Amino acid sequence: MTVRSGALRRFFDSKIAVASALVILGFAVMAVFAPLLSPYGPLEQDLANNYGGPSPKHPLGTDELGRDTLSRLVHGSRVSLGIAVASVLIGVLVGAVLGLVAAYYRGLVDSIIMRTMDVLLALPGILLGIAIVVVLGNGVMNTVIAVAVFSVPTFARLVRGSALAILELDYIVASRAVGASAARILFGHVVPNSLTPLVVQSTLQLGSAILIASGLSFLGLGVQPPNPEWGAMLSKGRELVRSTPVAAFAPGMAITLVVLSFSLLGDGLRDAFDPKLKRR
Amino acid sequence: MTKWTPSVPCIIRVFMKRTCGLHRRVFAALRFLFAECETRNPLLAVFCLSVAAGLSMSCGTETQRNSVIFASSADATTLDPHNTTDSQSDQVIWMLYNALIRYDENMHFVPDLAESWSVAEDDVTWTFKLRRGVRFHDGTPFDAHAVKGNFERVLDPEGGHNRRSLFLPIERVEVVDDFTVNIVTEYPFGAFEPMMAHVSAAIVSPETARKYGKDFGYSAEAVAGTGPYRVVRWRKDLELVLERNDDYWGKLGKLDRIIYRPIPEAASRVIALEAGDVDVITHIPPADLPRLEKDPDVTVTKTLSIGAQQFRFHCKREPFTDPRVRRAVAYAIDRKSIIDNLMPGMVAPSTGPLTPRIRGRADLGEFPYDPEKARELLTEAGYRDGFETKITTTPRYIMGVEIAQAVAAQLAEVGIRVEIEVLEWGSIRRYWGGLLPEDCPLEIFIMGAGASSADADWGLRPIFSTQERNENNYGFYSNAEFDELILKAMREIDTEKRNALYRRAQEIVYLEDPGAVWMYDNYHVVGSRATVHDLTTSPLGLVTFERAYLKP
Amino acid sequence: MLRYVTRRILEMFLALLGTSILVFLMIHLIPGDPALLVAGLEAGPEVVEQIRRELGLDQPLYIQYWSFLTDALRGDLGTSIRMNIPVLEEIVDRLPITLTIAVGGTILATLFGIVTGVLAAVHHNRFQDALVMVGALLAASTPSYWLGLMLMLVFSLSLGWLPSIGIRTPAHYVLPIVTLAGQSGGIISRMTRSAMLDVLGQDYVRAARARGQRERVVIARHALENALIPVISIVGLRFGNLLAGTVLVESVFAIPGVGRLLVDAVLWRDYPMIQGTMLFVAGVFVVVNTATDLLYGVVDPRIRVAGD
Repeated sequence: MTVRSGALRRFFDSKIAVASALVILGFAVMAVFAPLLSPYGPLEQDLANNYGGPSPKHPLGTDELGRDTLSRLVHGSRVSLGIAVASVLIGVLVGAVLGLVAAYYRGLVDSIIMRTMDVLLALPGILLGIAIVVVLGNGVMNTVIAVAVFSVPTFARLVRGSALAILELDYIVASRAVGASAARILFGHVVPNSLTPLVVQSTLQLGSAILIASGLSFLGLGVQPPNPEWGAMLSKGRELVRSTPVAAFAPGMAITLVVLSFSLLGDGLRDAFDPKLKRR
Repeated sequence: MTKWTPSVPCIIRVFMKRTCGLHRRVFAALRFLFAECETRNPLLAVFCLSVAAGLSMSCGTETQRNSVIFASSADATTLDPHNTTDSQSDQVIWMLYNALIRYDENMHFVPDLAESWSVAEDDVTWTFKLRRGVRFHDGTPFDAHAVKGNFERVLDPEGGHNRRSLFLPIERVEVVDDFTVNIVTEYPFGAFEPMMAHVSAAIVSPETARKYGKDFGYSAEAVAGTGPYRVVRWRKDLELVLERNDDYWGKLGKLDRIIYRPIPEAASRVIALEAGDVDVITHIPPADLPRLEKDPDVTVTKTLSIGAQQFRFHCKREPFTDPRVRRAVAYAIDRKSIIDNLMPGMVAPSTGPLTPRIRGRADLGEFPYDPEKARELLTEAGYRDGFETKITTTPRYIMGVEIAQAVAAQLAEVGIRVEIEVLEWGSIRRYWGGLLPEDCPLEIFIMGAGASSADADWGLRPIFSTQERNENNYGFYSNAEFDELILKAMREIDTEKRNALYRRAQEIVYLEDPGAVWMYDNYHVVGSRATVHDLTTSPLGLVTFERAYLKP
Repeated sequence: MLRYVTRRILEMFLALLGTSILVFLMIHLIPGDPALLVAGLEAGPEVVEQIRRELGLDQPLYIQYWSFLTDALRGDLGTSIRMNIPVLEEIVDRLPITLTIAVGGTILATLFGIVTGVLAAVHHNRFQDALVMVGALLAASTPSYWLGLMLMLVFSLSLGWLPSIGIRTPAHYVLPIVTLAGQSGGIISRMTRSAMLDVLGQDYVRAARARGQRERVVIARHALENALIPVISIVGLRFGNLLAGTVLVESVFAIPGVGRLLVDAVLWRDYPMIQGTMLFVAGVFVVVNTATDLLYGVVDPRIRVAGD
């Protein structure tokens, strides 16, 4: 427990880590309270005012159907963050279970699981996402699944590594010899001790998840219109880059900011939890 | 602490040494470029700058020669006139082939490969006197036998050509002498001349067609027509290169080469035109039109064309089996708003199922926008609370996705909840042609249709006559009175009587029992560099180069 | 040493096998009849049957997989249903463009990453360090397609210095390569910096200084060489990611490369092409990774001895 409280203090010592946490919090609030925060609905069309540049009524302009870019950006945070969180969550759960099983039972089970993870890792993220979308089809749900599958191997490896180390410890070996159940050992000892690297990796993975999900939507394979998703908005912005450049600028800025914040947050957490790794 | 920073060449050297000991060889090679590791390297900087300058200066394009680059929205699918179903293929085919007769700019019929033609007293025997001294690209002579072989090929039931159904009214082709041919129809066919001026009536060399069989028209060598240009090279989806045929029987083209380079994204096409990378483009997004019109290096031409954009219904699927529901949808759409805001300057409101350029069309006025009436009709049909449906659209049509979204929002106002499905051209086309009603998952779908023969018969008969599988009637529309009228009009030679029959048919399909919701009639908008002159932009929606030339 | 090499190569074949199984299963996992998917819905039932027999879809799965594998090894990756040409031929046609961009991107990213990383480490905790840190992080977080779009907006559409789309002259390659290099450059930069800092803090470096070696020798020979070891492995891994990244960059700049081929194939549901392209890219990825690992083994003696 002393590690934890020390960690908290170290975390708050770092201004950058705190700043990034606040940015993430800001986006999370934006996502949750989107309907309250956006001046217009994300699907509210106003054909007569389409292709508008920034104006008092529409600070970020309007898109091709007269929808307010700012409102779509705000609602897009729901979609983008929602996909990222959901997929990483699924990835953590599935990956953790696989890693634990592999570490506990060793032998053939371990080999099979880890080889499969290796094959999954053999495909770069965006390709894996494309492959899954080809099989399952487009749409929000399938994008979540695609990104989740991409995350699973990383977490499986992480948890397995962590579990292996812990399972070697004397007192654990002793417990198993005495007959303690797998569940008790796994959930009582392994999981709590794997939590910190898991948290750090999840945060970093959230950034990658957003990049992959918006990449898929940019290609026209993930989230479909008229859903406001930052990658899809960027794709449309590409066509409008000459007439209304802000449509191309805003969603990309949002993605970069969020991914950056997740990276900084992850770094901050890692430094806070394990100061030995910190680079002065 | 340390202040010395390793310079770039130093780092490179260390890296290479570490990776594979290449550093000795590479360093020796680079020695004359780098001085020593310790000094700064002005030489290196100069070297890099000159390389960069050289790269950016090699930005020159290849249009120093007398050739034109045309960026179409898609590659031609085939160069076999008997198989073509899209305008990208059509416009290349017109450069490579001739038909017996053709349309001029005023939509009159003028001689092409036939010097003259006439119809006999029986109204079914058409006699064509053919031009002499014409050769196909493969060297074989053009004569009455070639014409006979050509039409027998397209009509062959085993041949499987897409355009066979266009020529079904032909009963037989008779060779009278080497340069006279009789084409006999089964019954007096009112749309005979439009049929013979259709791109699919272009004459192919029977010998080359026989040689390549099913592969005719799918590669550069497997093409042989009589046209002003011939195919030199065809790399699918990359470029299609035509070269002038100096043995052409008619007026030689002024351009040495025509290069078709497909650029599927509209925005990229426009950028390419503005940068001078290509010379001609079509399918311009409305957002870019004002800028192009103001650009002194770019010419924009607009011609009212034969194409119109519509949303069709799957008429065998609930709730669209009920004409009241289809009328309700038609009333619920505010076409004016969509035209003014999404397609300004590029289209005109539809006033009937056929555009003004089509012979036999009737002006039935714009379909009114009346959401109240729409709701009334829905209630009458039993859908007081609306219903759920899906609109399938494709970005192949300019603003296709945006218009679908706008329509969806308008339908929502009368209680119809719409999901949008976006498919690529290839995917949506798979649902068009030869499916049974229950196998076709479309409900409302976008379609751009035009009578490629500029005649009411072809504009209505194939796409709205009852068919069991949707070879051409993609929405399974079926109306008995309509079918009857169309068949009668087909055999009517007298223009006035024809027009009256077609008028009634159009009233049915446009107003009473709508087969589709007509959104607007297209202008054929072409953007070209100011150096390109005398492009032929036909109302058929095609860009051809027979008279075009370059002048700075 | 030999043991290590053989092990790695064996693992490579296993990974390739696994990837081929995944790619093969892709079509069969799609709900619906694969023969229908390939033939197209409009094909009559006889045509569908014919396709089914031609592709051997009426045989058990493992036999199909076997022919898929043997065909692929012979170089027959099927025929594109959209363009009617052999898949491999189309891939090979477009490969030079994509490879140029990927390799160019790798070189640029490596060069830039290492130089800035070293700079940051050497001037640790000073202004250069902070600048590089922030820049690298920013570069690593920016989506490549947005970066490409912004670069195109500034350097092509506004300033007109570079061409924006397509590939015809060498100048056309500049923006795509820079875009592709961005993300990896940031990662390599951070990696180099931390490796270099690690090494600079080591005893033998301090010992060398104490011995009176000149500063530049200390840094160049002792520190840099050892710091670059982990960086090399990163570079190898990044190449695979860069190859995949061409999918996005080629879409932004409308470049007719292998990446575009895959995206178009997916949008058009051209299943043979999707399979072929995926297999090809994944295969290259696996081979490059293995090559990197082997190189790493050559470079870092510690790995060899441990045997993994």
